[in-house]
Amino acid sequence: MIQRFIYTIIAVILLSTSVLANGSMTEQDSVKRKWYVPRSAKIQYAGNIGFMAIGATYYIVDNWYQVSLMYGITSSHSETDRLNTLALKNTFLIKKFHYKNITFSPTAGLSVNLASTHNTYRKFPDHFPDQYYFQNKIHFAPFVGGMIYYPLPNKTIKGIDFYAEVGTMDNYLLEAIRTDYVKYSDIWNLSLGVSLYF
Amino acid sequence: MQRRKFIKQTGLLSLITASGLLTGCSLPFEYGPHDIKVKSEFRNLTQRNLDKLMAIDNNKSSFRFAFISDNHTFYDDFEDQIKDINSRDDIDFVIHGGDITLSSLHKEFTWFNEIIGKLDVPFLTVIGNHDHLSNGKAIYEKSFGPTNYTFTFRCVKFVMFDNVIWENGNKNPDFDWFKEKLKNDDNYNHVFPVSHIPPWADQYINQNESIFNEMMLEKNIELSIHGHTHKYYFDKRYDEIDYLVVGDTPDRNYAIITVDEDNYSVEKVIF
Repeated sequence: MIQRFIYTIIAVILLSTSVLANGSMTEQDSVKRKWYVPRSAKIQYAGNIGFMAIGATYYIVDNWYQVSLMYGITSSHSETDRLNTLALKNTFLIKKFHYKNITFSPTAGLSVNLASTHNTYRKFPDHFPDQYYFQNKIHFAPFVGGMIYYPLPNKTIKGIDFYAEVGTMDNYLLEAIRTDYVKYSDIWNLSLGVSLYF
Repeated sequence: MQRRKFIKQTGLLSLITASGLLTGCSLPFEYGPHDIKVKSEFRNLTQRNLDKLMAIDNNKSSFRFAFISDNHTFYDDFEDQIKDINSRDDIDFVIHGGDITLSSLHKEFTWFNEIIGKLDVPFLTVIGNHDHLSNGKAIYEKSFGPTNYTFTFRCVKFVMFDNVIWENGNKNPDFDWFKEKLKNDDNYNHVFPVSHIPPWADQYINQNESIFNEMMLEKNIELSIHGHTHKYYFDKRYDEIDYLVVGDTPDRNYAIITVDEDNYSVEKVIF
């Protein structure tokens, strides 16, 4: 029980640190771009948003709050006929550490995932009585991780980052809180990704 | 000073990253909560349990089995239930009446299998309505086997019937299969159907309640076994046939059914 509180407190601190972080980040986007042009493109392996997901990243607040719109597919090797996921991934760059021209940053965030597969609904069909089930299409997935950014001497692709994240999902988190059987350590999974900066 | 600060910061960060990666090494990659993912140790469980059952089948005509149902995600109570059954030495096997998950996520199936796998005796399951959500039916088939099946033990035939309607595309259960299998086609002492939803419950609308009960009468069924309503019930609902329903796992009850050549008896166990 004490362990759970400690984990929860750490998660809250990580998230609040990221929210309180101010615009002291050194790098700024030097390129003027139209609002709809993303700052970077992401490709991610695993992380509960598909076998492989691609997405576009926009910086919402300075250089520390980014939102990625991701689309993930699960290929046939996981034996699912159709499992598409749309994710709105909110990532907070908690702090930036610089070494020469390389930037390291611990991250934390919350992804809102919309899973589309057999028998998943935001509103269940009419033959179900009202409130028979809670919706099973949208999931909230918190994560923590880290990224390493390298600038590239290229006019089109100006930089690249590699990131790794450890995440979980609302249903699993609820069971870890609600039951003794499901341990905090049981509910996490790993994802890896690359972003290309334009 | 700048240099010292940098070394201190990167050193700290490296330590954090290294500890994260070490933890990360044992973490799984997951493609989605609705993925059809079943560990090899939890595959083909119906057949594997039937093989175990066959090993203890003999010329006796009496036996005793436990009936449990609707554990959903009440894992702590479910563990207690399994411990309680293991503390007895008079049970030959266990039947689970369905709703082994809440949302049919692959992790929920895994957690169920980890706990029920601690049973000292074989177990068989029927699928419940919650287990049909999302890709649950596909996970169930991969983990257990077909959702409709029969087995025999010491001259008793069990008809394990998937009677979920709403979550199964709002279509009727395969009553033709059910009716065919309810036949006492080999001089069995008893034929016991097991299905998740009792005929008087919510999903049995239109004519389905009377279709089910007419079959029971026509095939001279004595006892029909169910879950779903989360409330213990053992009585003759429609005057002639015994219906048994056990509560959900947090109700902390289950049933022991003792069967011999001519009779059977049902005992409610509180744990």
